[in-house]
This record gives sequence, C-alpha cells and structure tokens, in this order.
Amino acid sequence: MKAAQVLTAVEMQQPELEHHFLQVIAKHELSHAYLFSGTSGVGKKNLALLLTMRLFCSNVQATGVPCGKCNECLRIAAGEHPDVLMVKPTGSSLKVDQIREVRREFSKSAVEGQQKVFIISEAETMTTEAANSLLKSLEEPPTHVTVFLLTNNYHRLLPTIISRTQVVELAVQDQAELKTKLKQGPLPHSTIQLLLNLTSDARQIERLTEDDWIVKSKQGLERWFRWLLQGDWQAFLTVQTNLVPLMRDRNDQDVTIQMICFLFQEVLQVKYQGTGSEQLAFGDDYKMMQQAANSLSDQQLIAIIENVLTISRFQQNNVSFQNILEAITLKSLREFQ
Amino acid sequence: MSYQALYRVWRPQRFDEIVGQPVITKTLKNALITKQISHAYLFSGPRGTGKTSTAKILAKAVNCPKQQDGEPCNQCPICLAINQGALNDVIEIDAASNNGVEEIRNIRDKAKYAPTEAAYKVYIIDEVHMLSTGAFNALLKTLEEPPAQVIFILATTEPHKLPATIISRVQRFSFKRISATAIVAQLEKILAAKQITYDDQGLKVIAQSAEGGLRDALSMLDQALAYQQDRVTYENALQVTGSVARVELQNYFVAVFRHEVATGLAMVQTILSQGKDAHQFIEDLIDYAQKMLLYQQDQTMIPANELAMLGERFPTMAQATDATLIYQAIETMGQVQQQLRATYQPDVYLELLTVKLAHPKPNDLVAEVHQLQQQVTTLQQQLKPDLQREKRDEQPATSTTATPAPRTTVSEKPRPLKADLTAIFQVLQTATRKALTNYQQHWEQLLGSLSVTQRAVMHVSKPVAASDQGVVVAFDYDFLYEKAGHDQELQTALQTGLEQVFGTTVPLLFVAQAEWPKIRQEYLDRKQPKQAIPTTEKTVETPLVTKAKDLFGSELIKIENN
Repeated sequence: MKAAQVLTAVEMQQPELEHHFLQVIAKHELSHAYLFSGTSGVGKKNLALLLTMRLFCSNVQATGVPCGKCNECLRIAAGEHPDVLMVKPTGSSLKVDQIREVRREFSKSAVEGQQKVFIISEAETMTTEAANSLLKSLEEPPTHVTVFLLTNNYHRLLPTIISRTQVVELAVQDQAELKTKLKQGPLPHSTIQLLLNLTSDARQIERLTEDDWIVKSKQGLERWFRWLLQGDWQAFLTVQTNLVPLMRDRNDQDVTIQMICFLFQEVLQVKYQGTGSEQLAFGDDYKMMQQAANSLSDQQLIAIIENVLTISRFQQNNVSFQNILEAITLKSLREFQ
Repeated sequence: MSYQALYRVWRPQRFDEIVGQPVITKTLKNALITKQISHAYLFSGPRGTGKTSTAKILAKAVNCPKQQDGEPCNQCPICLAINQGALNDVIEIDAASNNGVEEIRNIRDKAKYAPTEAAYKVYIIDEVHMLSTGAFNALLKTLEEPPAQVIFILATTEPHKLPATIISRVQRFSFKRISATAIVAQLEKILAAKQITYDDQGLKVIAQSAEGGLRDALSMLDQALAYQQDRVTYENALQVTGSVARVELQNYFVAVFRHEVATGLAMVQTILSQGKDAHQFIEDLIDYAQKMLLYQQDQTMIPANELAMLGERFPTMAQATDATLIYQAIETMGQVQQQLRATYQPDVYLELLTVKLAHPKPNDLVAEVHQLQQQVTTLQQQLKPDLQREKRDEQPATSTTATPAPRTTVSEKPRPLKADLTAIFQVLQTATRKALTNYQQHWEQLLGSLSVTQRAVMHVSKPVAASDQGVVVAFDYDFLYEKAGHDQELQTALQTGLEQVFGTTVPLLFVAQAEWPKIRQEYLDRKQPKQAIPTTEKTVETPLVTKAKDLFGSELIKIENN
C-alpha cells in the first residue's frame, strides 16, 4: 500500500484515534506497547503504520501528520524500512521462532536512526510459547522501542500480555462511504446490508463480491433456511448440494458460518423488535422471517441459536465444514419439527 | 528520554512500597533481619501483583551493604547497579525464551562460581512455568543444594504447571490479588505526586476493571491520562476501561426483569455500537447483579456514595426482584462470559443473553423435585414385594425353578433372553472334561453342517461345558447370543448336525460369554450349601414355586435344591 493511501485510509476510518495519538506523540508520551483491537477492516494496521511514519518522518507537517512523501514514509508503507519490523503469522499461528527473532531484534540497536518499531499482526494467533517468550521483552523493552500488537479479539491473548500493554479498541466507524460506494454497484439492497454487517474491510468485500459469491451463497442459505423452517429433511441435503460446493476457501467457510449466525440474529430481531424488511439482510422474503419468528417459542429460539453458536465454534478446531453445517441442520430440525 | 509507562516509573524499589502484600513483605524483611535467608523462593500469583518487583527488591536487600531493617538503601553502588540491571551477580532470566535444558545447564555450571561484586549471586527466573520438563529436572539438584551464596527466585503466574519436586524445594509465597481499595489508594498517591485531579468514581471504575492487578490499573490510568491530560474523570475511566455507566446497567436490568426484550435488545445494540467491550459489559452486569444481592441481604453493605451511582431505581429493584431470579441471571451471564472468549461475534451472544434473561426458564425445580419424589415412592412400592420375596428366597439358598424340557424354554423365551439356569446346572452337575473335549474337537465339523448365515452366527461360539445331558455353548457377543436363542431354525439345524456328527441329540444350552463365569460361580456357590442346610428347604414354598405349580400343575414340578 502506498504511503498516501495509508494516510487517507486512517483519516477516513479512525480520525479520532489518529488525532489522539498524534497528540500523544507530539508530547513525547507514547508508551512502549499498544494493543490495537478491532474487527478486520477497522484500520488497525493502517493506524499502526501511520504512527510509525509519524515517528520516523523527516518532514512532519504542521498539523502533526507525517508527510507521506519522504523516503522514510515511503519505505515504511512499503514494508521496507530496516528499523520497522512487521511480523505476521506463517500458516495459522505466530510461532515461537518468529517471536524469538523479534526478541533478537529488540536487543539490537537501530540500523539508521535511534528508534525501532515492531508491528505484530494477528497477535491472538501466538502460540502459548510464543506469547510467553514475548512477555519479558514487552514489559521492559529497551528505550526507543515501540510495539504495536494488532488483534481482532484481544481476549484471546494471555492476560499477562494484555496487562503489559495499553489496549486500544478500534470501533467500526460510520460505513456511509462504503455504503454509497456499494450502492453504485449492481448489488441488491439486502446483500449490501449483509456485506456491511459481515465486514468493513474493503478487500474482504472485494473478495466476497467476486463472481457474485455473496449473492449465490445468500440464496443458498435462504433455500436451506426455508426447508429448515418447514421441518423438511431436504434442508440436510441442501447443505451438500447447495452450500458446500460454493466454498472456495477457508475464508468463505468462516463467512458462511458468520452469515448463519447473523440469519438467526435477524430472526431474533424480527421476533422481539419487529424489525422491518428494509433493515434486514435476509428480508427479501420477509414472510419467511416472520414465519420463523412467530412459529418458534422463546425457548426454542434460544435453543437453536445456542446450538448454532456452539457448533460453529468447531470451525476454529478444524472440524470439517460440511459436518458443522450438517450438525447445525440436524439440531435445528429437531426444534422446527 | 522517551516516555516510560507508569507501571515502570512506579515500580516499587523497597518492600514498603509494595502494595497489598503485607504478609509477604513482612516475612521477607524478618528473614533478612534475622539472616535466615533461604536458598530458593517461589513467588506465584496473578499478574500485576508484585512478584517480579519483590524478587528484584529481595535481590537488592540481600546484597545491599547498608541494608536497614530488611530494606535496601537504593543508594549504594550495588543497589544502583541492580536497579539498572547492570550487576553481574543478579541474573534475571526469562524462562519463557530460555526454556530448554541447555540454558538450565548453563545456569547450573555458572552457579558454581562465587559472586564477583555482591555478597550473593541471585538468579531470578521469571515465567518459570514455561520451562520444559527436561529443564525442570535439570534444575532439581541445583535447586535442592545450591552452592553457598547462591539464591534462586522463581516467579510465575501459573504455579500449577510446576512439578511437585520443584515446589517442595522452595519457599513458596502466594501473592494475592490486590484489593480495589488498595489499588485506588495507590492511584491516588500517584496522581497526587503528578498533581493531577481526579474523580473518586473514575478511580473506582479503573480499580474494578483491573481485577486485582496493579499493572493493569496503571496501564489504564496511563491511557486515561493520555486522553485527557489534567484530570481523570468518571467518563474518561469508563471510556478507557470500556465500561458502561452504572445507570445504563440499571436500565438494562429494569428492562429484562420486566421482560421487555425489545428495549433490552436495543440497549445492547447501542452499547456495542458505541464501541464498548462485550466482556466488560458482562463483567459489569455481573457486578451490578451481585450488588443487588448484597443490598437485598443488608442495605448497609453498600455505602451511600456508591448507592447514588448505581441509579435511583436500584434500591427498589434490588428489593423487588426475587433472589433466585438474580442467581439465575448471574449463572446465565457467567456461561455467556465463558463463551465470549472464543468468538468474534459478541453481538449475537449478548442478544441471546438478553432474550434468555428476559425469559428465564420457568423455575420448575420445585415441580421437578416433587415429580422425582413421587417417582421414588412408586419405585419403592414396586420394589417392596420383590425385596421380601428375595429375602425369603435367600433362606433356603435354592433354585426353585423347575421348568420342563430345557430345549423348548431356550427357544421360546421372549426377549431379553435369559440363560436357562436350571438346565445349565443340571448339565454342570454331570459335566465331564472328556465330553467337553469331544465336543470341542468336533465343533468345527458341526458348524460345517450349517448354512453360511447360520455358520456366521455360530462362529463366535464354543462349547464351555458338556455332559451326557447337554452342552453349554458360550457366545462372545451378546447380540449373536440373542439371535441364536431366538432362531428356531438354527437350533433345529444344530440338532440335526449333532445327530450326524455325534450320533446323539442332546439339548444345546446357550449362554453369553460375559455371563458364563458368573453362572459357573453361582453353580459352585449353590453346590456347597447343599449339604449345609438340608432341613429348611421343604418347609418354605416361595411365591415362585407357587406360581410354577399354578402354571404347570404340581405333578409336573419337581423341586430340587441344587
């Protein structure tokens, strides 16, 4: 990503935090370790990059913003600065060897200037060993070292890590701009609603809309749900015939499970808040949602959602995706029949 | 000089400065004064309670030449060098990254050499729970009897991961969570020193959400100060900790206790859209519910200034709500709190929680207990005649079942199939080794005469006892035993087979392999008392015998005591 893009992205996504941190840096009060927590696409990485640029920039603007044009800024944005170390998981987790490498870098002095910055992405994937070996360095790093840990759920980190950092939660900002951009596209209103609820990450949206994947899988889910509602065993078959073939990769599977959770969440909203079809992502067939909301008792709905949530957690444990969907189907069918 | 986090600036340098661990600091100081220093210590306890700090102070105190009342002077060259981490004799090791046997061997080898400057060589092994098993074991001998002038201090948050052999070689100090009051006092001290004004409530919120860790509290204070320079306010603290104002909690509880799901859901949605932390929200809710319980028990438990903060409807709500409902709510919230840890979608969980709280499961425990009681009574009544009968049965110690023709009983018995004990016992009485061997040898031949399916069933069977009166056949699998027992055709085929192979027809008695040892034991047990009590048997006519007589007529029944 280009330096200028980073600047505009942060300006758009996290203007308040940007302002806050630039002030902190101006006062030389930047702490040594921060934990940026927020769902993917809220701009954690960009914020960390911008702050790093601010620390290194040779031509800081009067407003306190880095210029985005000098050599330092450009190299940081391109990930080529020797004193800015970026670590991200290889495979599914951050391994202890990678953290050891970070520790070695900790003890070395900076190559060019006086300071070093470490940006550790997806910190929640650190293995126990990795996390523990980071502890000591995180507590009292050498002077002029700043660490940014990025994570999408900071509660999955070791409490001992959390207590050594300043936790900054990045809230999802107004999605209006993203929405208007999506509205110019060919997607129907309800699909846009769904997309915005799933992510605010532009790249992720791009991936999901590719080949109309999101439209197809939404239709598949709706078909599945209709059978489910009728208590028909056809729902079980739909998993294999309509849903599983759509999955291109692991990310698609995760999103699908998220969509199922969201579908039931909307049933909940229709049942108790009477949310209208306009605000729903699965509101195209509003009758279906109403039928689901009315035909289920409180306890049944609670039971179904609990099942869905419990079973969908298996995805993290690498249980086969088809098994997860089928288990959800079978358990829910019992309530619908 | 770059900025240093508060918890680094305010790291205690004397035992007196350690917050909330008076027992431990007192003990250590006394040990120093009386010169009874142990060679190995283990400091365990949750994060941010002062383990590493105490370890460092202890390292200074033992080495400080001007030590007074157990406190280091913090001025002599040695103390200063330790503070800077520059003294060669105080070695701080991060066990998480040096967790192998090699590193520990290194320690073991170097521990032999005398300290260079200070009086003692102190090894502080932090995060010691991360050592590998091999490393722990390599440490054992050194830890038990280290060279003179060497002290080991182990620090960990997870003492349960240490082998018992390590724990038994050290003096163990368990650091406690620091109470909220102590944390508030420390925060006040720091803010006073920095000349920053503050709201009492704000500090309380921070202390509450630090969960007993002073470092957590200081990190949050740092953040609060970063947001607003000159003052720590209540709103500020709420923002930093991600907490929700107590009044909002009150409104939430009012909504769910009135079963207003829509209001509750709307509140959850607004709270989350404000970027509040779902975990903290549940934590706050549980805390609030707990306060309701406290208030219900004793109104004086909650001081007046805190009461005002909890919202004006708190007192009435606390008293009007049924305690069991609150217990239930806390339990539900606790479960959701657990589940939240592993998810990226806290909103679904919170919405579900709201529905659950607003529609608590009908409290049917009482009804359930009642139903169970009834069930127990009926069962007891059903059991009574049985019990009596059994008692009577026991006295003569006799099998009174005398059923005709064992062959038919085997085949016609309805499920579940029970072995025909009488017939089996008869066989056992006359069983001979020779007969058994004969049958065993020719068993395959017998199976050969069966059809393929029948053979498949009988394949897992083998004769286990035999006499002229019959053969007892045991089946490895219960279901095949059942199948064979019910299969009339198979039995006829077997009889024909027997006649062909052995030239005689004797009844085949089926038992399950699992049952067989028991049956045999029972037979042996019964056989012995036979001689012992010969008198009583005729006098008692058990209900079973009466029943048998009714069914078959008394002339067909022969009562035997075997």
